Amino acid sequence: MSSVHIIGAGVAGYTLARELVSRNYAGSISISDAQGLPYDRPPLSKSLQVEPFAPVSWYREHRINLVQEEITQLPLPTADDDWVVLATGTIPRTLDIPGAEFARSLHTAADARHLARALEDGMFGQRVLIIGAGLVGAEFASTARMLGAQVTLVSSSNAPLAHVLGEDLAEQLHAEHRTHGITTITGAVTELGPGYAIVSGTRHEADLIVAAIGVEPDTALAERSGLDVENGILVDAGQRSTSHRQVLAAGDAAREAGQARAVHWEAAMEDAAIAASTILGTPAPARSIPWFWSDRHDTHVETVGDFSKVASVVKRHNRRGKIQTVFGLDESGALVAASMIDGGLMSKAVRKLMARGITPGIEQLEDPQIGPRELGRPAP
Amino acid sequence: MSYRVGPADQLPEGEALLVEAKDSGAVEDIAVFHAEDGNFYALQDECTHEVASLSEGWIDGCEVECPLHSSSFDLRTGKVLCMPATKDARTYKVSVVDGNLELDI
Repeated sequence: MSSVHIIGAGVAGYTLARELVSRNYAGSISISDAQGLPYDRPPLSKSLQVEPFAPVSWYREHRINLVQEEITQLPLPTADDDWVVLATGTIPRTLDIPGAEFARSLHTAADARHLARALEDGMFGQRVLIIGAGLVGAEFASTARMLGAQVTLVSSSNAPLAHVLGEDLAEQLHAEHRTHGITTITGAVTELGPGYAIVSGTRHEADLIVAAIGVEPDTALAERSGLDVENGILVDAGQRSTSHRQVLAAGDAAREAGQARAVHWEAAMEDAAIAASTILGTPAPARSIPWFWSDRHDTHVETVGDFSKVASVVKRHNRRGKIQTVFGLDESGALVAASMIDGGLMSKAVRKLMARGITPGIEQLEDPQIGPRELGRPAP
Repeated sequence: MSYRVGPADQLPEGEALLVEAKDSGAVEDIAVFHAEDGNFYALQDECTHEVASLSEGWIDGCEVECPLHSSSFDLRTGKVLCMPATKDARTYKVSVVDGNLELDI
């Protein structure tokens, strides 16, 4: 009987199993992960909640074999209808400074549970110092603040995430941490110790220190097995490893040869749907315009498209004079990206415009009176 | 039991409206959609993933995409078509009687 062995139970691994089930795959499916029941990662930093994708009964009902185990040696498939899929995700970067071990990361369900407990058990007003103000750092800062902690957020720039939000919105969002009672420091952390951090030469006391300085693809298993790895497990457009026909890789751990590595939740789901098509021998679904979201301080942040292609921006402000949407245009003036807060339907509108190659006029983009669905339509 | 929502011609194609439980007497808020196949459909208003109103979603053909995290649902069956939601939405029957939208609750 044919088989699919999925290694890694994040959004890519789970989505692949779900796709295979919904498309009536007849072989056996197993998922191996040392962490057990597959869960969704976005809620970890947004609320310190652990949310399984499905209950154990769902896996039983569909005869998916869930195995709680650490795979150390890749079981390379030998038959043409046996597949191994690496969906190993990422591992958090660690600080390279004295005392780095005093910082905790926020990457797994165990991390989220540990931090939730520490914040709940601590005295009200516990001092939390967070290193890194990217997506995870900013979201955790907001969550810790909501739980009553005194939060200090250290970053190397006053506009973290500028590369994915654009400079203007990144700066505005970072400044909003302060209005929510968070102390922000632009500087470098040079040393950590029990209960303290040295930031740009100044000592800061902290009951809890969290490092959120990014992630790296987890390619250790692939490397040990001799698969091609270069900033991710190298795959073709069908998610097949470039070095083994029956091994696929999907999600944050994979990178299509010649492309930048896609690092967000939706891209991982698309990888999984494409991997399912490769296994089933059907045409692969098309990829959509990149999209991700982030939630902090009751603000819903979204980005669509690719800010690395942006040459100029058009800003749309709300009634209080805050930037609500930043539209990014490339060298030729075409709409290639947008970032926004509480955009409602704007992100969907921009994705549809980009997919159709439409760039609305600058006056339309700037005008908050023109709703998302009206963008790109001629004025009545 | 049925609840009269209002004139059908006041809900243009591609748009939705919210029928609040406190007005209709239903057990929950309900979103009524005018799909792009010309028909009217109704689903539970709250997305099955997190707190978000499907009546504020993006209607495309016979699907609605949640405004918050882009889960999508088939307006005809309530079936979830795209994560992060994994549970189907409850459907309600809506019909046009003498030009008025009537919702079975």
